[in-house]
Amino acid sequence: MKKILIIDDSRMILEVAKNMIKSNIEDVEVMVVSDPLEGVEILSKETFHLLVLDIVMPSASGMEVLRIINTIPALKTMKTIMFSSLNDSKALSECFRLGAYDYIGKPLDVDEFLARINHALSEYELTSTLHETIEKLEVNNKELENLNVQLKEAQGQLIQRERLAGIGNLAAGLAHEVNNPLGFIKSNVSTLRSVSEGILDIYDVMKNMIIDGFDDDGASIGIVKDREESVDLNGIIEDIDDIFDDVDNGIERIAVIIDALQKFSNIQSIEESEAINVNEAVDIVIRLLGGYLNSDIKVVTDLQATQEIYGNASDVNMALYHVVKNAIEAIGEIDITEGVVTISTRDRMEDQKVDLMIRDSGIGMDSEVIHHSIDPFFTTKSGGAFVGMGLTTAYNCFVKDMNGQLDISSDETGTLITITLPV
Amino acid sequence: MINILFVDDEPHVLNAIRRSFQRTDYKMYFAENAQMAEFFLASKNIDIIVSDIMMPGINGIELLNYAMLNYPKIIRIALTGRNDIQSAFEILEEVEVYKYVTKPWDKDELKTIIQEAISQKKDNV
Repeated sequence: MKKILIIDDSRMILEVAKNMIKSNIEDVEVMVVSDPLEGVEILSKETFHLLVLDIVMPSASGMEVLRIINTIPALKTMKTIMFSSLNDSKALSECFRLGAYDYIGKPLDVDEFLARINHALSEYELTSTLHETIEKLEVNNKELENLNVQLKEAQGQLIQRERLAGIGNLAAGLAHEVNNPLGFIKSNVSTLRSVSEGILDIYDVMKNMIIDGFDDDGASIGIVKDREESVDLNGIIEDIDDIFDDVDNGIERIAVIIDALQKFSNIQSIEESEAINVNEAVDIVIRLLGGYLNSDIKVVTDLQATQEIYGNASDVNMALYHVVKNAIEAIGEIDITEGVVTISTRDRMEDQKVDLMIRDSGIGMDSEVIHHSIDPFFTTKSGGAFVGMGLTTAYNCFVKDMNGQLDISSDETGTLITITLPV
Repeated sequence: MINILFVDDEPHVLNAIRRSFQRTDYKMYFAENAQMAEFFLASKNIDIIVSDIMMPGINGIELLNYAMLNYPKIIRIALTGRNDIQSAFEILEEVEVYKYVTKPWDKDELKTIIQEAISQKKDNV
């Protein structure tokens, strides 16, 4: 039901117009009023689709009515058609300026009048649909904004878990790395303790022999020989240098790990970025991964880069740690006696970037695996120790945070990971 | 004659163990990887196997399961550098062992465990 209001001081015009509309347009309700002030009151209480408004009226002009209409927000979509006689051109321009939609000249021509009414009514439909759509869009927008906030929170949590998984991984590896040297240091010290007890024992016997002046029949020598055997003195004497060397070696290893660990994850710089020397990062990571290497796996480095990259040192170290650890594990998955991990760095003069390449001669990945390799928690390795966040962490750090590139190529001879970072 | 096989990828660990068992009556074999261990298992009459868990390549769990499958009479002891409870659960879920020892280990405790393992073996036979 379309609602139309006609305001004109001539009752005859009101009748004629109302009849014209009602006999030719369906589904329409027409209200007429000759006093513009009364019209304004009606407009403040009811909404209409269309207003037909005379310009020249005794108590208030069409322009004044328009001004009042403009202050009522509910009438924003209402279309207004002005009745105008030919002399009113200046007034008409003013009406358009005040928001009138159209005009029709008096005396009324039936066809023209109906045409403009219909046109205004369909315009109203379009405009109001437009307004509704805009409102819906605004609601959707708000929802999207909320979703965005939630997503950002979820992402933040995922990044936290990623970090923790990385640290957990590192901690597990390090525990082993430190407990091994601790193990043989402790065992060797215990051996040295029993050895020294034995030696002190012999020393005691010999001291007494000297004090007593060798005046027995060789019984003391017998005792000494006895003690020597029970302690396996000769065996120990051969070994004693090695024992001390092993203990020193173990202590040194623990010291290196602690030192590398401190450089690896400088707590103070958790969120800051700085200039980083890639070669140093490679060095630190290799030291921390030392325990995973054995006689079957070698790490070879070819560090030629001279430019520095810019990023968060902790993140870079952790990401690199993951990539190199993957390389070492890839070799561990196959049954060969000589695996090599080659880490090289070089400057790319052509585009002001640094390349970091980690190549392993390990098991390799097929295209399906490569496709999923960056997904969080994806891993092809069995056993609970492997969380599957290594390449995810590397991708997030090198590509997302540092605007670099991560390329993976792999076949049965091994895998090559190329990381390209801006300087 | 009791034959004991020690497996660890770390030669220093094997040396330290060798020294601590120097004056015992056991015959000791040392392997730095699973392949060497398998060789000893096949060619010597091993009574007890003490193996590290975290080794590159074939790890201790796989090795101990291999021993359980092929030489079920051998007593299996796990020696590991990861001494947290989570790892303990993980390892014990994946392989059946007589005892589980963490690094750093106590020399006397290790000796006692081995002695007890031997007497248990004698009882079972």
